Amino acid sequence: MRGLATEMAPPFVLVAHFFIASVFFLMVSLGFLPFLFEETGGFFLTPNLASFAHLYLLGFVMMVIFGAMYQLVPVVLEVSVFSKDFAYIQFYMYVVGFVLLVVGLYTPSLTALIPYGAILTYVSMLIFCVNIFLTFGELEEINLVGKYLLVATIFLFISVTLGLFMGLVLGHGLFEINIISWVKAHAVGTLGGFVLMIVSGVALVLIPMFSLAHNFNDMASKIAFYLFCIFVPVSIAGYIFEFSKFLIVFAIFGVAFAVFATIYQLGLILAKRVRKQNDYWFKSLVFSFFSLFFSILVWLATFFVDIFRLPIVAGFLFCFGFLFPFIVGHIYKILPFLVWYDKFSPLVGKQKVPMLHDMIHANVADFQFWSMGFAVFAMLIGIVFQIYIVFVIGAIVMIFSGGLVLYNVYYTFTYKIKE
Amino acid sequence: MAISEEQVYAGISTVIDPEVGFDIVSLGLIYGVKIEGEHVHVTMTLSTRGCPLHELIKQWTKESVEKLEGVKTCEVEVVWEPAWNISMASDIVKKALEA
Repeated sequence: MRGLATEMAPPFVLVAHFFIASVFFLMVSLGFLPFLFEETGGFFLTPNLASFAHLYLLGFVMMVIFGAMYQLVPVVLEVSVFSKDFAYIQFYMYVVGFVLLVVGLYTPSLTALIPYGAILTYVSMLIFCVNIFLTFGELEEINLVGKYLLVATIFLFISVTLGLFMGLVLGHGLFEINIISWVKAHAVGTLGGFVLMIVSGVALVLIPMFSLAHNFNDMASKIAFYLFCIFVPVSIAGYIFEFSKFLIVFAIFGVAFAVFATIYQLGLILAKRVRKQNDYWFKSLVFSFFSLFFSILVWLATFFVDIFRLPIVAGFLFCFGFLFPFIVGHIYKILPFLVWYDKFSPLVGKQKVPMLHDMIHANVADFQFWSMGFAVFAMLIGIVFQIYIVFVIGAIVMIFSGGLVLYNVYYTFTYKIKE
Repeated sequence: MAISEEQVYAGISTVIDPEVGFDIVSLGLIYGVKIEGEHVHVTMTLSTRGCPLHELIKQWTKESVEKLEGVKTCEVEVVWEPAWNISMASDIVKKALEA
């Protein structure tokens, strides 16, 4: 055992930067949700959709992943993150960069901002990648979770490089590219290569830890790892170099099977769980993986059925049915630990300290889960049947659900020991 | 007066895992206690490898033993074999977790 995971952990304030910003940008992006109905008819690339997707995915999803990575890498790998200063620089550069990018994508008269935003975002992500690579450089051996995190970061580097090229093309027309194909390559690299591999990797640590599961077979996650490693690059290359449709579909199916293997692995872990309580974390987890499964099925269907709304349905399920509850469920577990460690751990043995679950308002978290479930269902109905009012009701309930997340984040940060 | 194993276990049982909400003795994390005069050697495990509370729990265990009358020093060794499983926990813990 090499060391002290807690001593190697980054300062609380660093990780808190990312978590607070992610919840802030979640709320900002949800605020745009009721106005996106027209985009759900099946148009592929509109300024509204592109700016919203980047606001939600960069502002909320990637932000929280960066924060979680800085917290989890020392725990998983038993090594300190190479540079905490790099992480601070990355944070501020990233916020400025992606906000410029989103404003440029959203405002037709300000498209000139896109390349500047793209460059800043790119450099900030490059700093993240270099920081992670140098951290891995200090290791003598890498376990399966470490391999997931390392390969995911390589895919992030590749796909943000594609994003930078697209930003330069959109801003200045510097290159001649098939933008639709590049967007697809960028999406597969970022979502399939980075986000899903990070989720698969951290799930192998966090889910057994929170559910107290032991003695499960991890063969499915090993298979998933190799499927991701083979088929994500082939899919990206397929779109960029315009391979035959057969080869692209084959590669996409490979990525899909990697996801199915991950979901199966989750089922194996949960089947061995000792903690049987179906709390807000467990419900969020199950909901998110069911949504992921259906999202991937719909995505595969888009290659065979020419219904232009299908990609929107797949993307919607992925973003709001999968990512939102998965991240929120884990915020309810990770944030109390961070605050507790900073605020209450020095008091252990001197006075009564709270348990981690005390630092989340359970009823609010439960209500948040059910309202999120209702909102996802309503918006899905609204998208599939193109019913404006149902979509808007769902979007408003989703904002409400996000507000409940915000409340619990505030509750955790300001938690005081009860006399 | 020499300290007994029971007294050491009682001391360690004041250490609570803040995530699970039970003391580490009831969770079955303590594998053994060896008393050599005023020195105590505790062998223990954790419910998950890579637990972020690893060092804190180890430190709390050491402090809880060194607080006891008749103990001068305590060494805590964390082992991973045999790996912890729920059968090692007390019936109260099992019942509460499975409820």
